[in-house]
Amino acid sequence: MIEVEGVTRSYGDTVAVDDLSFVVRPGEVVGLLGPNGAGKTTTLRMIATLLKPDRGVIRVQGHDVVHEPLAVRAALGYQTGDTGLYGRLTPREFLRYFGRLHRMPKAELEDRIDTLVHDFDIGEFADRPCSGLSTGQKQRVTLARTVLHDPPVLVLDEPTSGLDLVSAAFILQTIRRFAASGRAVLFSTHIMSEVELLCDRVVLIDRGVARARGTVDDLLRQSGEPQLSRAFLALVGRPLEAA
Amino acid sequence: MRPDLIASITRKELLEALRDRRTLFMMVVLPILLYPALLLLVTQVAMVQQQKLEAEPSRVAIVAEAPPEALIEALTDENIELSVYAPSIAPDVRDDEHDVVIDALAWEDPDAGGSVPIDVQFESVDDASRLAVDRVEALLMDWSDAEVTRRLEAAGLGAETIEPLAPELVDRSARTERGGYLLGAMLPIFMIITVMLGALYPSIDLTAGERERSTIQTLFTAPVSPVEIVAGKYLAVVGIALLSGFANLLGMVLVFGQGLLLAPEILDQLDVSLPPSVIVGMMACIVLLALLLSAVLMTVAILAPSFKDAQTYVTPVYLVCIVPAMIAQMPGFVLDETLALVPAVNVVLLMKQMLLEGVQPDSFVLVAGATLVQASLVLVVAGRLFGQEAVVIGDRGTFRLLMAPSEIVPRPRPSIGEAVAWYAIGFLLLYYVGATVQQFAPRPGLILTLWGLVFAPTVLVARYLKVDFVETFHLRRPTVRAMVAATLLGVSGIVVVNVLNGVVSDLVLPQSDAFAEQFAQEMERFFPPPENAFDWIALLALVAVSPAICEEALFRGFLLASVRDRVSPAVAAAVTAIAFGLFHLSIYRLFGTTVLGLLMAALVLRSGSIWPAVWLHALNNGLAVVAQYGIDAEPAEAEAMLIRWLPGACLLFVAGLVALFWPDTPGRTPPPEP
Repeated sequence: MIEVEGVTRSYGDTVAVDDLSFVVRPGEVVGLLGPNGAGKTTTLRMIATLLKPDRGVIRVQGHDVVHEPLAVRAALGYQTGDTGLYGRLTPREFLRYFGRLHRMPKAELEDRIDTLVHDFDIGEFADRPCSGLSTGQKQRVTLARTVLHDPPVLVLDEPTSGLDLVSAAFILQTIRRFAASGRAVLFSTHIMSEVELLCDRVVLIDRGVARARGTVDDLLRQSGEPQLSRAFLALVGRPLEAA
Repeated sequence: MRPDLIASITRKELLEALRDRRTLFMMVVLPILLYPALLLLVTQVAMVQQQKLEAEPSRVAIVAEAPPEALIEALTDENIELSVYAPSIAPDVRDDEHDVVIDALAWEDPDAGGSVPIDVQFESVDDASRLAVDRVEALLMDWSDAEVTRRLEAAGLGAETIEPLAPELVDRSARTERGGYLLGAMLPIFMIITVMLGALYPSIDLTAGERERSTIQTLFTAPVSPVEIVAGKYLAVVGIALLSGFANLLGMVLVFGQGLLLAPEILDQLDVSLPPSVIVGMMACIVLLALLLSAVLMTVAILAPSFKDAQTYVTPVYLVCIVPAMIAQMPGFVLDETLALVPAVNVVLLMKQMLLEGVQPDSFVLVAGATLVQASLVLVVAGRLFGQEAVVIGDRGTFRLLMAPSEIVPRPRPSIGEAVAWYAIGFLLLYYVGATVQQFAPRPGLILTLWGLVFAPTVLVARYLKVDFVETFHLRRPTVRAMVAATLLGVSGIVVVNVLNGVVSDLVLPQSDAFAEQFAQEMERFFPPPENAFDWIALLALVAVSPAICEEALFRGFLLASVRDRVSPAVAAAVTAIAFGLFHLSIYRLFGTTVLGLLMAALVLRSGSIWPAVWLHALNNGLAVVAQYGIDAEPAEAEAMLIRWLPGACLLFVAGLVALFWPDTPGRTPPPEP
């Protein structure tokens, strides 16, 4: 469970996130939507304890991100474009390293790695240095790392960016499975078809402020547009002119 | 601080580093092979060059109106190729035709008894010319000596007329000392350079490199604190720096041990083989250098956004470390108490001292203490920097963020890192400020040290860090049993610890008796014997009560609170006790104060209250003062007295320990297990 309550964060004079509140419950996939620079990444980073909010409270599984950052991280699977792999380690070594940092018992950790290597189809390149892997392969390793410690909460920042259709579909299925097993999933994306496919609810932000929230249908109704893409543009105040 | 996590991080970083051929090359191949090989090559090429030069005769030209027979005779030698020119065709020494040109235009027959002026022209920048002028000068001096003797004889005088004194210089330094002097002039700088080079690459790779490859956010998804990450990475850097330093030492030992570098006639004069104790001492110095340099380099590299920037940032650091070390390397600089505190310079001087005089435990402890304090200070800065948002998110970090109070979240107790930092700063304050003022004004100096440098800053730091005072300083009501235990231990501890201290010091340390006497004298200088009741009260307030309150606030308050429940109680007690022992700045008192520190830590951990420790501390110090001034006895007599009291004291001591550690009856609040 993620609880974001009245969170504000500025960089100097620029307000990146302004009084933002939302909740992600167990078993639910919530999409964080917004144009570039809307404050999505800042929000996700605050949830992941990498940034501190100036005001407001964020709790992950009841743990405050400012006061109990380590407990938050233990409960969180976090992935962004900035979470790279160690080039000189193999995927297996990489997973083992993070398992140790999560203090997973040795036998359990090895079992878990074997399972993930199988589930994410990593076996073929599990013992090759990460530096030589393709984008799709790297993304699968990253995702395996994200769920390695079986976190109840997942935060994913554009998990399908740069992937081909097959890899993206695999990632989306995986996300669905995570939510089905009772995890709370928050993910950001630009791709409207993913939102329609996956999200139970959507939080739409622009310039740090929440412009709309609810199911995909709610958004369509609020904007009076037939398509999610058009609804998105209308809700962020830049409606598509009629051709 | 969780050691298993730190170990995991260190292991992974070492694994990655060892897979990188560049690192391996820089840290092992280069030092073990290249430096000795380079040295060898340079000396041997120089030697061959020298031999070649010496095999050639020097070309000497004499310019004169008529051939000066006496001069030609004087310079007739197998190493000299002599030619005489008339002034009209006089050669120039700079033409390369001749190595030396002697202008003898003013030549007169020396038999006349005068002083004959001749110009000997040479080029100091030309090796052949320098060698030639040496040869010419030697021959001329020989001839001149002979002429002097001849003239003296002609005047009916002996040679002693102009030589009233016939000094002969005899070098009585041992061959090993001469060898050590030679090594001392070159080995330390090699060590510092190799340790530096070993630490340089990984300290950048593990910090700025991690940001450049955008793995730092991955790392920060794990439930590990910045301090733990820095500690793990630091140990890896230290490990690589050590490997580099040891590899270099090994190379050097092999080269010098085999006497490969030096000509046999030099080896007769000096012994450059390193005795095992010095090799161990040098290894310890390498450890110190690795600890310090790794910390400094890593901290600077953390501030850099990329690998390239980091390389730019560390260059001045490199110079700042190398240049003073090179200066320290010069003759005339020896380790004294001030230089022993200057980072890096002190280790260079310590190595020099070891090579010359063998290992001196006192100097070693001083330099090691100073270096450890400096390294941990730098490391705490690194820990705080590394956790900054700006560092993690990929912009660059700044030192200004260290001061940002918004980054400080109120919490019950200080963290281990903060405690280490404050201890290190306190240590430096004590050393630089406290010791200095106490030199000028013993009593006010001591008051200032205890209250102004220990107590007040500790309380202020606790405030700044927004910690809970009750939790941090253990301000709870003591249990009756803890107070009883403290009393028993306080009364008996002074005897037991003193005897133990005497035994241990005698076993391990040289001159412990001399030290004891010196300490007593120091005490008398600081505190003249009390003459009336008021004197006694003042003395006890100064020596017993003040330290009990001020030092307990720091050691059994701030420091113990930071480690309590985060490590096992035994480790918490041991760590704070050793910190307490070291704080007394004397290796001779280390054992006694550490034991005392252990007891006091146990009291606080068992009772949850600081007061039993304060009481024990005050009792112990008070009784020491009473023993010093109240009992008028010769040292031998005093020792006998101690032995006589020992059985009784032991009994009380054991009773105190039993009272302290006896398990609590069920139903009462269980204090932490020892």
